[in-house]
Amino acid sequence: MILPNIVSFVAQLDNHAPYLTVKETFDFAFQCRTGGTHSNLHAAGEVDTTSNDLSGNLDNNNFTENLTIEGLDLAHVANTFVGNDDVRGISGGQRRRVTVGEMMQGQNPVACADEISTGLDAAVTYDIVHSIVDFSKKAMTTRIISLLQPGPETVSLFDEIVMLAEGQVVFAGPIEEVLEYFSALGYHQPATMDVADYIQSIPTPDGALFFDPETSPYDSHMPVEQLASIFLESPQHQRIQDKIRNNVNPNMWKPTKSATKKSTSSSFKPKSSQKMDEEAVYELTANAKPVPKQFKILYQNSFGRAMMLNCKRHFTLWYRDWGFIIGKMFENIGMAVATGGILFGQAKISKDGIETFQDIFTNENQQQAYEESQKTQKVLAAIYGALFMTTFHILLGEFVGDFNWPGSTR
Amino acid sequence: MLSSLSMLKGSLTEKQNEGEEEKNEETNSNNNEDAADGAPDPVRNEGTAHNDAESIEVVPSFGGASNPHAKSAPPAITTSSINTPASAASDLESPTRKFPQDRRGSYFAAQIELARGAKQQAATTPTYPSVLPGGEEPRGRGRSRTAASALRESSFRPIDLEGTNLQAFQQYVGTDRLVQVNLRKYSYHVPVKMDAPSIKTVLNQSVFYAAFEFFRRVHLFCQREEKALQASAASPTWEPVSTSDVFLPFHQKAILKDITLCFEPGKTYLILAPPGGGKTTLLKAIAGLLHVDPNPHKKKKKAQPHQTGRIEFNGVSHEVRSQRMNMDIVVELVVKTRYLWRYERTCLQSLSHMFVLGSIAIYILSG
Repeated sequence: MILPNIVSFVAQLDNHAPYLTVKETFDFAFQCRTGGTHSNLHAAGEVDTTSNDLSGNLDNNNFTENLTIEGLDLAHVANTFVGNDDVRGISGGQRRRVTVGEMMQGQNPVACADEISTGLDAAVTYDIVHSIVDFSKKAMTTRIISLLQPGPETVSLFDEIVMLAEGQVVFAGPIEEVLEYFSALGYHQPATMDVADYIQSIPTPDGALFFDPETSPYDSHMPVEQLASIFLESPQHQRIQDKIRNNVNPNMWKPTKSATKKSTSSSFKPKSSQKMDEEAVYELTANAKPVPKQFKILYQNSFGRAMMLNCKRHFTLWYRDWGFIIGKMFENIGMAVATGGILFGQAKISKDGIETFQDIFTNENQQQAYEESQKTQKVLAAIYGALFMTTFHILLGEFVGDFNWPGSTR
Repeated sequence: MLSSLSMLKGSLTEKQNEGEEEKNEETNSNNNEDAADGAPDPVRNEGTAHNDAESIEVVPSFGGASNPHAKSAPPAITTSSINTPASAASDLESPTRKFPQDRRGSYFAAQIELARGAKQQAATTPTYPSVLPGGEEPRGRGRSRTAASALRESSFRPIDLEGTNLQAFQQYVGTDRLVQVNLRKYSYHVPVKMDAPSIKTVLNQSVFYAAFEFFRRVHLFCQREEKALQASAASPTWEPVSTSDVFLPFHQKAILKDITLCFEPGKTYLILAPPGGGKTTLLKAIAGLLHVDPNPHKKKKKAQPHQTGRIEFNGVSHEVRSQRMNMDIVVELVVKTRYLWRYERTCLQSLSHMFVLGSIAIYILSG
């Protein structure tokens, strides 16, 4: 089981290649994540002519790409550069949507989105979350989203809420029950405060402002540990326990051989309670089906395809940065004239001497190239993190792009 | 002066309502010439009143339905009512917002619905067209000319193309992609060095801190029974409980503590926490992005974070660091050394070149 096939993670920061358009960014992510076809998504062993037609139809219509572009309202900027601080491109809010959409390309069953509302206003946040929730409802995927200060209308889109404080669960349950739960504990929402703000500040010392000892079974405002222990006895927690223990889930998977081996290996000694849990799981999953093949693929692309994708991407990035190329050409010509002026009419200079001169001028460019590479490294780190392809492919593609093409020494 | 300026702005921004606006401004400036100095900044208000023709003003109103044509509506801010204090207050309360044409009002409509106590149902109406409306001719892999022309023909068509709607996609994908995520008593600990300065300077003070910390722990350890008798509230800092804790170089801080959760397919979850509450750590733990020590009982020079409990995907727990660790190491080694090597070579070469250049210069100067 390869985890990035199942879970995708949307990071807090936007790192994109600035000279790719929105469509190309999505396309690259889709190619890397699924190998360019929808046929991998199909259940194994059920492939017939109709399903082949269907996947061909999906591929021809660029289903995932267009769905993301439409769903995230990016259609009018689909052919615009993504850009960054230096390169003019789409706006910050749209770039945020691109970050979200890039991670939706793999059609992952689970997605974790970390503070996707950073730097956006409430209306845009609502739009993005609405489209994410809409899609998740129809495609039956799980979406776990953390937000800072969401508006009440955004909160109402979600099914359930998980409230953490200092690493402990203070509340986890349906959104309709949050206010009832906390009002039963003696916390009351002020009329001037948003739901999310109010819930978020309950476990902090500010929570004392909402506490009313007359309507509460407790004397004073509770610290986090007490709130967490109260939740452990609540019906909401009981419901979660039931879901896990009784295994209502019909799609259980068989644990792989390596997993069973590792959990029983001597290096890690689980506590007694935990061991019992694991045994119970294995008993329950005795007649489960094996992990689907589509989640076991480590690299979706073949060697040649991955290399072609990377080379193409690097070439595109290189020739679109025309300001850099033209500047470098002028610089190199100027330096050549200057050297020629110095060396004109002088004594013989050996071949080594000329080569050293060449090196001097390329070195300055390499200094700049180093700074550039620091920027691109962030973009690459995002790709590495998502396990799109092997390091070798990326380095090879980069090497071809880095080659000393005339005019540039990147 | 003012009226001419506003006239200019008006004629620049909006030509349709020119006549009315001019009249308004003229009467306004004539009537309140003296009071104009003390009034709130009129240029700004005009700027909000004369929006671009493309955008649409939406004035939020919780009482009734949102009016898409708020420009002509009476509560919209006009120049004729600048100088009255009531309108200034209403300006503060109801800021005008710009929205793209297709999404207008959905946010405020949701607010209104919320105010009426109706829950927004997400799964009611399918809104996704299957193709890009009016998009460019698609190029590249897997898109033939016929597909391109088909795309152009079918733009603005509803979603019900054969095989491209989500229901069909769902059937096609089947139940294999339904994944339930369970967290069973999951905890994540990181090592924290007690009371030592987090910023390391050139002067190494860690020896003194270590000595100080050791004697402090011995002191606390000897006093623990007296403290238990006093039954005071738990101290915020960590205290040694057993003798082995006295010699522990680090103490483990729990970032996530005994988390039991269940994430079902087809549902969306909102995670809220005060700052530093563990939102990002929980999400990263589910995504398998946390760096975890696989063998917490093995002695190491450097303390590493470790986890207990299980995260299950349809009952199968993710084994930490199977492929990822190798990937990380390869990436760190190859990429970083590559750039470092390049950079250092540059520095070394520039030194040698300075030497060569200097010798050439001396050679030339000396003739």
